[in-house]
Amino acid sequence: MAAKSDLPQGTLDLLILKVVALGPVHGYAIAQRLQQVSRDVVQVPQGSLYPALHRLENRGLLAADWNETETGREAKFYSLTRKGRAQLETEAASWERLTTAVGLILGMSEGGAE
Amino acid sequence: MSWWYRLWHPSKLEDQLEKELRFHLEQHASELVARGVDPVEARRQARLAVGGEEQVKEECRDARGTRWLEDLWRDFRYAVRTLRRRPGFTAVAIITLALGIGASTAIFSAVNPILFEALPYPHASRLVTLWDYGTEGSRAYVTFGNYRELAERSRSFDGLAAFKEWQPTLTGSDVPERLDGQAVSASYFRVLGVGPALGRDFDASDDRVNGPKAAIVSYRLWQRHFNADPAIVGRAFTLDDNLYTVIGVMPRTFENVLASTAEIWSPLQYDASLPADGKEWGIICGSPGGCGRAWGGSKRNAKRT
Repeated sequence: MAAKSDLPQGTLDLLILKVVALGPVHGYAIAQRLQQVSRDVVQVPQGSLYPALHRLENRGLLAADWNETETGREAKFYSLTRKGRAQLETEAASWERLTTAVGLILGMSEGGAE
Repeated sequence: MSWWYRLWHPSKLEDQLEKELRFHLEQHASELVARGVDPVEARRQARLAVGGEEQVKEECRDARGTRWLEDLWRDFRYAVRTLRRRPGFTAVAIITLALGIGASTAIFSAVNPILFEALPYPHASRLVTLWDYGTEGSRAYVTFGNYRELAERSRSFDGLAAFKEWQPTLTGSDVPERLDGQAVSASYFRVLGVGPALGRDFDASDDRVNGPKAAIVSYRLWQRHFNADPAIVGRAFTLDDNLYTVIGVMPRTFENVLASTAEIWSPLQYDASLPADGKEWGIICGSPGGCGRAWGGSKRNAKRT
C-alpha cells in the first residue's frame, strides 16, 4: 500500500461538498466514503472534518437535519443547499483547471521548455 | 439555524455537538469491534483517529461564526452573577457611575450653550458685540458717544444697537417690585432678529428725547404681573413714578443672551444736552457688512470676526 498523503490545503471543503452532493449523509459516513473512494491514499483528518462541516453549514452551503440511521440511531445528516451546489461546481471547475495546468507542466519533456 | 437561535440556545447547540461527535466515535468503534478488535481498544482507536475531542469541539464552536457574541453573552451573565453575589461592591460601582455620568452631564449642559450651540437668533453667526479696551487690557463698555459715532458711519441704522442696564421699580400695585431691564436703542430687537409676539417693536419715533414712555415686556413679566392680559398693548402702568405704555410682549421662546434676567425694555432716549455719561453702553452689531465701516474702514476685518 502506498504511503498516505496529506490533503492539499483547501481541498477538504471541495471533497465534502462532493460527497454530500450524492445525498444526505452524516459525518462518520463522509469520513468513511472519503477514505474508501480515495483508496486509502488520502489521509482524511477526522479532527478537521467536523469544524469544516460546521463552517460549511454556517456559510449556508450545507443544510443539517437530525434523522435516524438504518440502525435506528439519531444522527446529524448533511445535505447540499442550492448555494452549496453552485459552490461545488465553481470549485470543481477551478480544481480541474489547476490540475490540468500542473499536469501539463509536469508532462513537459526535458529541453522541450524552449 | 439563525444566529438568534444560537444565542438563546447555547446549551442545545452544545448538546448537539456532543451528540454528533459521540455518534461518530461509537460508529467507528463498533465497526472496529465487528472486525474483531477488543471493545476497549476499539474505543481508544476511535478517539485517537479524531484527535483531541475538546479541540475539535472548540474548532466547531469557532466555525459557528457567532462565537464572539456567545462569549460576550456568557461574560455578561457571569458579570451579573458576580455583581449579585457582592451587593456592596455593586452599590459602590453604581453610585460611582451615577455620580460620574451626572457630573459629566451637568458640565456638558452648562458648557454646551456657551461653546457649541449657536445663539438663539436667526442670524446668530453674523452677530458681533463691540467692546472698548480698559487700561489694563480688559473688556469695557463704551460711551454713548462711541455708539453714536459708529452708528453715523455705519451704512444702515438697523445694523447697530446700543443697550445698557436699567432697573426700574414697578409701583402701582400692592408691593413695589424692582425689575431687571434694559434701556435699548430702537433697533435692538431688529438686530437680534426677534420681534415681539404681541404688539409692535420699537421704532425711531420712540427713541428720541422726551419721546413717549413706551415699554416692551418679557413673556414672563406679562404672565406674572399683567395676568397674561391679551389686551395688554396700550395699557399704562407705573415705573419709577412715570406712566409707561406697554407696546409689545416678547415671545415665550425669546432668550435675551446679553442680559438673561431682563424682563422689560424701554427706548434709551438719550439726552445729549445733559452731561455725558460714562462707559456703560454695550453695542451689538447685526451684520458685519453693515457695521464694516465702523471698524476703522476695514470691511474685511469685520467680516472675519
